[in-house]
Amino acid sequence: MFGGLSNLVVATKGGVVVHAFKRFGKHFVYDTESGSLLETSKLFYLLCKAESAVGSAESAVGAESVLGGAESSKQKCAGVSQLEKEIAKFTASELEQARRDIETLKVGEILFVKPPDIKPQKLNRGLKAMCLHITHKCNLACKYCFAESGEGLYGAADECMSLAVGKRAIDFLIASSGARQNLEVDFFGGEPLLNFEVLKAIVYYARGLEGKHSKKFNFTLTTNALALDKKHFDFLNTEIFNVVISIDGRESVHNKVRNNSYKRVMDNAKAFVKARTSARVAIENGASGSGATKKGSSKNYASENSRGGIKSYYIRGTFTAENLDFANDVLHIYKQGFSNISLEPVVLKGGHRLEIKSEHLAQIDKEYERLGKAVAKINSEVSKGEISKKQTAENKALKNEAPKNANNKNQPLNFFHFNIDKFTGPCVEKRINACGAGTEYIAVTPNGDIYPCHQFAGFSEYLLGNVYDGLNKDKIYIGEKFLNTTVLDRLECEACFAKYHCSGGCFANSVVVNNNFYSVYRVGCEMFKSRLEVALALLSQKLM
Amino acid sequence: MNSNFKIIASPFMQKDIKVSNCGECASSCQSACKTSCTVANQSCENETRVNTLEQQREAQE
Ligand code: SF4
Ligand code: SF4
Repeated sequence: MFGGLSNLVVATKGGVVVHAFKRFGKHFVYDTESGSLLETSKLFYLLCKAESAVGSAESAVGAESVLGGAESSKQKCAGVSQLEKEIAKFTASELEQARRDIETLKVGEILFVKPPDIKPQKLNRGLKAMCLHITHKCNLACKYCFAESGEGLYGAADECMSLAVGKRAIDFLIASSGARQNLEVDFFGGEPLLNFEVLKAIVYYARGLEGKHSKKFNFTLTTNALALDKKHFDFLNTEIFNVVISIDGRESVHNKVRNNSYKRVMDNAKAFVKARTSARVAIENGASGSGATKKGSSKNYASENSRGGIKSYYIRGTFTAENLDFANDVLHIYKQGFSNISLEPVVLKGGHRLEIKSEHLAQIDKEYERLGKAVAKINSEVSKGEISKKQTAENKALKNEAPKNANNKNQPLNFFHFNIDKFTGPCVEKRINACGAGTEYIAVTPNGDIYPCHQFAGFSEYLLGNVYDGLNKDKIYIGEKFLNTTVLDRLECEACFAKYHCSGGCFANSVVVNNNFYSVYRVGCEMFKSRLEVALALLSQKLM
Repeated sequence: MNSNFKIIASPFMQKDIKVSNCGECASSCQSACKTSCTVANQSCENETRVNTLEQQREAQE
């Protein structure tokens, strides 16, 4: 069984998915099928939870498979009688009022709303994104790297992409992109900076084709920052719209899995982000046109850093079974002067010492909430314009290690997974379609081989073709398999409240961990749901 | 505010299915090794839709 999580995930009859949960000592009800979110009284929450749980126990579908068969059925019944006991503590008039409120919201189609009639378009409109494995060389050997996992991924580990292959890949992307205007190219590795001259030349080549083909390229790059140096800054700050730097957090945590690279990586990253922040400020002040943010989105970095031309960065890290207190790592990164942070659970196959297992989930759940609290606190202080003088024991620790450089002075902590835009987020079709691997997103290896995404690289079954010869006709079915698997096609996701945020998760995780394309990676699901609850709860405080 | 509930986010899914899918937004890999975007924190690139949603936001706030 998963968990220790107190919040039942439940579906009622007719496909309605209502999720009642508690975070930060407050009560919330989230209506998955309509997207509405309410902060509620305890009684209201209990009633919604009971109603959902009864519906779920009656229909006994979907959630069963997620929560795990007969055991969960029993657990639900026990849950319902416990809920009834709690509800009985309220007075008759309180009950009546709360029931009336729920009824009003049902009639108003705010709560217990029937699912929208989504007819997945499953359109193949061509490519829009490409991951270029610019080199498989790496100057680090991280303990959890999938390139090291023996899947044969980076078979020839010192392979570098030639400019000829890179150009051909860009041509292939343009030719396969149909009417799309915005195209993305992510430089990935290995360590992309180890093939920097070719990388630059590919960017200039692509830029040279933009006008002719009416395309706009957005380049991104993921680096371990070990070789990141002043000589790269100008180029990265002019041409690369998002630079993602891998740092795992506290020195001891980082060093243990990332080959003792903390000091150098941290120094390089600080210098880079400082330069990038100045470049960004110059763009904003110069208002040269390309840097305009969208109206009303100023607080939402996800919107801000989209294709507006503003140069963004992320510090991304990985947490493993060995640092389940990962909130400390996020806070550590923030304290070093970085504002945009993403920390991800590692995904590893059975038996690895760093693997996250189901018995870790309860602790991880608590940790996301602890992180949420810390983020809320920091951001409310930032929005008040000063770090509060009244220090609680909790943020005293935080204060002790004040930012050594001023990159993020007065900057909110933008933790990627808590960043949900409740107004202008993605459309329904995007929400059900996930990553687009194999249909709108592909990966190209140094020798020009095409795979559905970077994580499938090296899996011969998923080799789709080559940038020179195009897609192999015998492998077209693979793209179709990706295209035809939306979250609505996954039975295990049917009753999941997170489905329009998660889209069914990562195909590669399903294949790598479960060896089953259509399954879900359940440990990942539980972590996803934990952080989504926290993110939703943070919306109520308008802090993310 | 009602003593039992406060609406934090209004329903949108049912309205939204009519205007969706222009295909111009960023791709969204969810894997731990990547820029790893959860789908929901992707931003929308469709100006018409964003403007409509912004108007709704203003009306609501
Ligand atoms: S894959 Fe996503 S939508 Fe499906 S059950 Fe897991 S968390 Fe929910
Ligand atoms: S399959 Fe997984 S790793 Fe590949 S693009 Fe999709 S989410 Fe990312």
